[in-house]
Amino acid sequence: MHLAIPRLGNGAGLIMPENAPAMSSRRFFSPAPVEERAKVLLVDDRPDKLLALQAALAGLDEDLIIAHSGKEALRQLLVHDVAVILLDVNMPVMDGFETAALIRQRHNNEKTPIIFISALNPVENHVTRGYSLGAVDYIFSPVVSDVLQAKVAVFVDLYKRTREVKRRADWLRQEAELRAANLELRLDSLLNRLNVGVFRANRSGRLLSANPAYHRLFSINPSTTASSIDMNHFFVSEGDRLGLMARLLANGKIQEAYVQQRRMDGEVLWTSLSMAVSTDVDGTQSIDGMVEDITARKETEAALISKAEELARSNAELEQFAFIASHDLQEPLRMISSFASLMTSRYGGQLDTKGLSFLLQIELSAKRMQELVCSILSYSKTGKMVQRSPVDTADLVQRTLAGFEDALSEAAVEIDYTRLPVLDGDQVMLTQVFQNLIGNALKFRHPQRNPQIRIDAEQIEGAWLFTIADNGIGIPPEFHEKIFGIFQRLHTRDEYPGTGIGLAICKKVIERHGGVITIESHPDQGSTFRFTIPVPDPDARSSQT
Amino acid sequence: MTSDQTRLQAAGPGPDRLRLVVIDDNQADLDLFNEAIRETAEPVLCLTAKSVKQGIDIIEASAAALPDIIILDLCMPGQDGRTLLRYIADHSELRRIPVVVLSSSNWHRDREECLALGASHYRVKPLDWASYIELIHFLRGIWSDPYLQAR
Repeated sequence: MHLAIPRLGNGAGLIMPENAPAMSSRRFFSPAPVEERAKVLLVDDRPDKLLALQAALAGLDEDLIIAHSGKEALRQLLVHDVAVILLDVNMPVMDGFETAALIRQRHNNEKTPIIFISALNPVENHVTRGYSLGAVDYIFSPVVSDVLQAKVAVFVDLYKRTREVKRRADWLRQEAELRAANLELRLDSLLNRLNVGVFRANRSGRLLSANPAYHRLFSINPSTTASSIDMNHFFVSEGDRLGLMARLLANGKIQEAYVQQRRMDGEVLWTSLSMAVSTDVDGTQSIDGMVEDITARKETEAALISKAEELARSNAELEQFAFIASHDLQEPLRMISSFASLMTSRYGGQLDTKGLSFLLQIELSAKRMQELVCSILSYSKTGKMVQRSPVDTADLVQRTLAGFEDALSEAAVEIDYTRLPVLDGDQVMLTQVFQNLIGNALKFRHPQRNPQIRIDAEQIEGAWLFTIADNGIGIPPEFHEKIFGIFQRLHTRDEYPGTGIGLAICKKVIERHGGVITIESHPDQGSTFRFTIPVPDPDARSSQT
Repeated sequence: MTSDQTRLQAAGPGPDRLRLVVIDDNQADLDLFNEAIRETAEPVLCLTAKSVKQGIDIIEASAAALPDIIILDLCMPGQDGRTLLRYIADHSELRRIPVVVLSSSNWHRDREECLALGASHYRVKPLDWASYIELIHFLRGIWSDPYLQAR
């Protein structure tokens, strides 16, 4: 038969096909509701009344359990989980009320609905007593079959729904437990494979658990139980340990503290240690921590820092050396040239021409040496501090050319320098660059043709690109790298005068401005120097003057 | 008392004789300086000191007849020329003596510093003989020209 009882779970669409492999699918589908029939306990001392009840409820299609006395009813309840109890009030030995009181004492049946059936005339206090014992309903004999069936059906339905809810809750709990177990498995596998030591300790630092990496990191025997390890023993410095623990307890956590720790085998490591205090449900506090070996990183870092410091020191020393050496070298040179000229002045008359030329040679050499010393001095002073201001490079070139008046009047020199910009740079230093580059173009001119010099500038991405091209003797490719070095000369001084410092100064100036200088040259055809002067960021411009 | 100090006092103040104290640690420099004085044949009495301490000793000992000009090398081991400039600045009775700093450095910072410390003149050391002669004439000029003496 079918009452208007909705079949549980049907609407949810979660019902598994009956022949589905239960175990493999259970993680993906909620379980099928169990189509188990509910049990109804009928308690009456009179078989005829029991029969009448059975007949009235036959249409429900549930299991009916029979008890002929209160005692038997209690016994049946030990083995059956029932949806509802129909209990005759009027029974010998133990009446319905007594039975109900005993049923209520049992934990499992605290809330099992009880419908009292009484043949008695309705007496007010009977009904009250029944309800006080937890009856949910009260009907009178002779029972009306339809009414009884409808009432029982409501309770059966309620029972089935409750049972289903509970079943689902159980299933969900199991599922959650399974997931938690899986998660724990994954976590364990992760922790096992992780190369970072992960541990949990009590507040005083005794370990509760630690992953294999922790054991490896401190060279602890893998079979050593966590509880026999005290993390306090690993700290190299007691001061470090006290400081860290104080901070940990004060702030509740420590992020990546770099601290030295000693392994069981005595080796000292640099470690990065993170810890946090966590409180369990029961209020127990413990320390969760992560420890990583950063010795290699620290060493690389230290090596880098010391290299950088060394480099800075050596650079500073070199500049200092160049400055002092040039200074101190000047003293004896001054003496040589002064005494040589004193000799010439005072005793020149007593020497023949040869003797005089020897003296002159001493003077000239000393002067030459002085030039070199001055070059080093000016090179070492160059670019110490770039003082930026707007520089009109066209004006600068014009004034530079004025300084080469003599050379320009010697030959028909063709110079083209249109389109030169005003840019941000160090006026004095940039003058040095143009003096050297234009000077070189004039100096190393081709013996068979009139010098042509073209100076040009164009704006490229973030910088001005200058080009200074000549038609001079050019430079063989193998020397292109060398010429920017200090005192690099490609010719004898008899051929071309100079100290060989000019291009080194150019390079230094351009680099101090953040640019680069290059050369393109072919012997006998000419040389083209290119250099860039970066245009300062408009945002940074204000702070650069 | 050294013979130099005796000589300075013996010479006494006089309008006809320029009395110099030259302080330089380099003997060759001192020799050249003396040679140049001899060559110019100027009436000059020149006392030399090879350290700032010696220089101060000479000046203190000759309180009665202070030198007309002090010629001072800047870079010397230990106490350098700046020490003497400060010493003079601290002694009001010495402040009227012109001090000419003679240095191998042509760095503008050194020049500015010396003038700020009270030097009357800053000159780069001569590079040849002719410049030495010129230097003596310059010193003679300071002595005879009150304007040049002004600090």
